[in-house]
Order: sequence, then structure tokens, then C-alpha cells
Amino acid sequence: MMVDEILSSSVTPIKKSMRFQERKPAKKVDMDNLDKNKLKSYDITLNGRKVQIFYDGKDGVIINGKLYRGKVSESNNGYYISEVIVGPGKKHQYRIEYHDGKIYLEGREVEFDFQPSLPKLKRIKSSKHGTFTILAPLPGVITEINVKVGDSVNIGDTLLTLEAMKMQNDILADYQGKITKIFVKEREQVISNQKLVQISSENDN
Amino acid sequence: MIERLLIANRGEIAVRIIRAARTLEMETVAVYSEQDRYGFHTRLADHSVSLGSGPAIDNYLNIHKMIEVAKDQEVDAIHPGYGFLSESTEFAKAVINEGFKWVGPNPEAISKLGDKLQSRKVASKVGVPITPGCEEALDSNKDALRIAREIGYPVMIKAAYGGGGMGMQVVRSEDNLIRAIKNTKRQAKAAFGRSDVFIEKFVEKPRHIEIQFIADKKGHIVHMGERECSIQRRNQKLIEEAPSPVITDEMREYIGNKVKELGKSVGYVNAGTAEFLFKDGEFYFNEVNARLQVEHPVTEMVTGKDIVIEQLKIASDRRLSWKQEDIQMNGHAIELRINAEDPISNFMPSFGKIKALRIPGGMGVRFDTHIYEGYVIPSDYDSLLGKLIVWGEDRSQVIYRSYYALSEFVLTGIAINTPMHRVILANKQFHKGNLSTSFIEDNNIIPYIEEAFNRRVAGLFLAGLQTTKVVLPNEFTSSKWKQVGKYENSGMLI
Repeated sequence: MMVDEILSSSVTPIKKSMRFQERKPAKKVDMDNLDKNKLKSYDITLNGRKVQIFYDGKDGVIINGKLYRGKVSESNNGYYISEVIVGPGKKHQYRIEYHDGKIYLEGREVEFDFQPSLPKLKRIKSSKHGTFTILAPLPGVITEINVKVGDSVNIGDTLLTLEAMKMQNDILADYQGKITKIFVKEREQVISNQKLVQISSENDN
Repeated sequence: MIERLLIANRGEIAVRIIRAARTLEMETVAVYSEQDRYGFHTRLADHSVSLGSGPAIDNYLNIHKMIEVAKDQEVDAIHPGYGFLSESTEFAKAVINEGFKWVGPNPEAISKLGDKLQSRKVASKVGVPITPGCEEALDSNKDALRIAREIGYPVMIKAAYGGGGMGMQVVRSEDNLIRAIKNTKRQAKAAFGRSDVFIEKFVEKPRHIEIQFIADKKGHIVHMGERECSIQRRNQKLIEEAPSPVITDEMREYIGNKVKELGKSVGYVNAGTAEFLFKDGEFYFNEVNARLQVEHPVTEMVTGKDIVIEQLKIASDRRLSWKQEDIQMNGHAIELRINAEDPISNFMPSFGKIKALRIPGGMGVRFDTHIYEGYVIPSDYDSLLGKLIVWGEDRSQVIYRSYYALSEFVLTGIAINTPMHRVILANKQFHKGNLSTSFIEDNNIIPYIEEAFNRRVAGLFLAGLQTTKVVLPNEFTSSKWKQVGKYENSGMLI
């Protein structure tokens, strides 16, 4: 097993970067072998680009279905060395520094931010005043429907649960009103932006 | 000599022209749309004048307004830059008719090069190698089938009045020919107002090679060697270099002389570029760009000659400063176009405020740009933020220097395309000089950029968790990263 030498440069040297490019890309992971209950999702921004990741609570990060394991160590001069492993012997080391509110990666300032993913609710307003339709934020399977037509709901109430990317996503009401239509049933496969539930403002009825 | 110059453009090229004009101690007048009120060129110029708000057609493309400003400001010359009005013969004629000096090619020469079919004819007359194809616009389907059979498939159907990578269709077999002609005619009619089309041999995976030339009003002309611009995506150039790794001195002299003959035959004045496709040692003439080009700096770096200064001198009726033997290639130069677009998301453009900006430096490193820290990129214009232009003694040195110059470059606030440049500069085929216009697809550049991005995200995320010692998950709902500085300053947590 090849192990790269201890990081001695701030930037990946050109020849090393060339070798990395010639490697086969990291394989997609089998999500079934992971403990899904422990996976937590985060929204990340790095240099203006946004991406959603899943963190296993230990050392694994899943991005676009690929697993990146990491080990972080602190060097004696205050830098952090993040070692990212994408396969046997495939290690990449990055030098990270925190100073004065700024983050430096490989000696360069970067813009990096993350927060737990919030359920991304999309809704469309129908032509009728005060009626909103909640859309599926991502493709998946409806595993549970918590409301029925005629129920009154408050903002934050769970409407239904959508399993997507092996994760349970609670779809919450972001509008107060009465359920006037349910477009889906349990175990139904839905696509992105498919209509799920219609809520009408009670004042209008 | 011109005393007061109007720069009818914006962005990095307006800045570039102002710098050249200043060197010649000309007064400069900039124009701006209201969206560009705080553009760098408005501050750099001696005077700047608003062209009002709205789309470009109401300001940067408005011939009437531009001429009014020129009169009002009592300038004696106008430089159009590239894009916008630079290739409008109507504007060039209006400028000249109103008694201003036009810093660009004479409208007569441009109309002689005219459309793509006509420039093919002019080129072939002086012996410039052209792509095999038809001489006239296609008349009948029978002719089309015969010509296509003669030159052999695949062929390209091209709109005679097309441009910008539009109005072109590749046909790989006879079954699709007639339908493709019909489609291209319809598109050409809609986009360019005229439906004339012609057939050319389609050159597969060619290199893009172009020859810079410049001529004065007294009949002197020099070529300034080639630039290779093969690294493209959807016909948009991304990386340019000079000289090309595959062009020998003999080839340069041969094609350079042909281009000079072409320029002379139409009485061309000022700077221009003849574009060619290049495959297996053969040049195939494409078109003449009758203007200053984005990538002109790579030629400047290897020849040591300032093309924009020379343009201004020629427009001032001066004699060309150089003879052909004064133009020598010294070393190698690369230009990386820094664009506000995300290569991983299909080059989606990004807009917004530039937060941090650190521009690299050192021997042979030049950055032509109009951006600054706090600059807000308007969504109205193209995504070019600047050009990192690097010189080296040879191709290998300039690649290494570019890679490490780029590694110093910081720009935060918006997504930009530097990760793509970084990957290409460390690509083995790029080092070997194995380039073609489909380089990015053929070498899987985009998937690797994403892979490298993901690794860094993972590295930063895991380091971030460790650093602030925040217990995960669900301990926080808003970003903690903004507080890193606070923790540090108060001596807590870190």
C-alpha cells in the first residue's frame, strides 16, 4: 500500500497533481452498508459553490455518493493537516489555517461555510388567492403521510416523510391553513417538484 | 497624434486601452452604463460619461449616443475594444464620417472580407489554404449532394453570415444532409437575417491557430506570429498560448506571409487576426477577426511589442514602428481567462460582490483586469473577470509558473473557473502539447475538477469540526464559521 509522504508543501506539486489526475476516480459507495440513522446532512459553500454532504458522525463524508474519509492533525506551528482518503493508498493532504476570522486552504484564503441542511421546501402559489402547493424538494419515496384532507396545520407541522438518498426527510408545513388536497399516497415514488400537498388559508374559506 | 481618446467599451479591455493611451499621454474619456457606474475604467479615465441604464442596445451598442458623447467631449479618436461596436462597419463609418479617427480596420477592408463565403474567396485567391468546400451559396439539393460527396463526409453546413459559433451543423452521412441544410437555412434567416449557407469539409478535433497581423495606412504590414487557442468549451476560448507547440519556424513564416498577402489584397489597416483550424500539418482558413482580440497579450509577451499602443499610433497616421525582422518570438506565454462561472455546474455564470482579492505577482506574471475588492459583478455582461498572462523562457517554465501563480490567486464571494485552469495546467496531455478543441471533453477535465473540489470540501469540513469542538449534530442551526474570529480573539475554544 502506497502512503504519501508527510505534507511538506502548501500547494500540491504539479507532478503529484498530474499523478492524481491519472488515477481512477473514487467509486460510489453502497449506501445500504451505512448506518443511515447516523448520517446527517449539511449544506456547504466553498468559494461560491454550494454542495450538500452527508456526515457519518465519525470520519466519513459522502459527497455525490462518494465516500471521503479524513484524519485531521494539528501541526506544531498551528496549522491543521487534513488527510483525505479516497481509497487504499489514495491520500490527499491539505494544509488548513484559521486566523483572524479567515480560513486558509493550501496557503490561500477561501470562503468556506456550512450549516445543517434545512428541509428545502418548495411551494407554488395557485391562481386562487391563499392556496399553496408543496412540491417535492428532491426525488424519493413517500414513506409516511401525517395529515388528511380537512386537517388544520401550523407552520412547522410535519406533513409527510420523504425518503431520498436513503435519508428520511420530514416535509414541514411552511404555511398555516387547512389541507385541501393530497396528491400522493404512501410508498409512492415521486420526482423532483412533483405536487405533494395543497394548503389553503382558512381565512379564505 | 491623437490627443483625446474615447474608449467605447467597458471591463478589462477599457482598462487595457486607457493604459496604452496614458503611456502615449493621451487624454482618455470612458463611457459607462449605469450598471457599470463603479467600474474601474470610469475611475481610471480622465473623464467618464454615463450612457444611461438599460440593456447594452441602449448604451454600449448605441451608435447615436456614442457619437454624441464623442462630439460633446471633443475627442479626436475612438477605440472600440472588442465585442460591442468593434465589428460594426456602420459604427466605423459613422465615426469616420463625423471626422473622428477610428482605431480599427477601415470599413472598406472589412466589407471586402465581408461574409464567410466572400472571405473564403478572397483568401483562396491569394493562396491562403482554405477548407475544401463550395465556392457559392448552395443553390439546389442536387448540387449539395454532389459537393458533399466530392469533399467526403463529415461535412459542415455553415451560414454565410453567421458568427459566434452559431449557424453551423455537422453532417456525418448523406441521409441527413438535406434536412441539415434546411435547418441551418432557417436558423440563419432567424439569427442573421439571411439564409445563405455553404458546405465545408468538417475537420475533426482540430487545433485552433490564429495569426496576429497589423498594418499601417501607408501599405506596411507585419505578422506577429501565431497564437494557439485550442482549449475551449462550446467555441469559447479559455486558454491561449504563443507560440503554438506544433508550429515550426518554417510553418510560421509560410502562413504569416500568406496572411500578409491577404491583408494587403484588401487594403487592411490596423490590427487583425486570421483564424485557422489546424490538423495533421494543414491549415484551414476560418475567418478574419477585424479587431483587437481578447488574447492579444500572449503575442505582446513573446514579441515584447505593445499592440494597443501601435494601434493608436497607426490611427494617428503614423508609420508602422516595426519591420518584419523586428518581430521575434522570445520565450513562451500563456493566458488564462478568469471567468465568473462554475465549470462543475456546466459553466453557469455567477454574479455578486467580490469579497477578497489577491492578485499573484512575480517575474513574467501579468494580470489584466477591471475588478477590485468590493466590486459587484453586474449580471448584464460577459463573465470575463480578467486574464492571467504569464511569460516563461520556454513552454515548460511558463506552465509551471502559471500553475504556481494561479495557486496564489485569491478571489472569494463568487464561483470562478480557476479550478479548471489548475487541473488543465497539471494535465499530462497539456504538458505534452496534445491539444485540440475537444481537449476538455477528451481528457475528462470536468469530472476531475469536481473530484478535487469534493476532497477539499471533506478536508475543510472535518478540520472545521475538530477546530471549534462543537458537538454535532443539531447543536447549532446557524453557521458557526462566522464566529471563528471571535473565538480566536477572545482566546476561547481554539
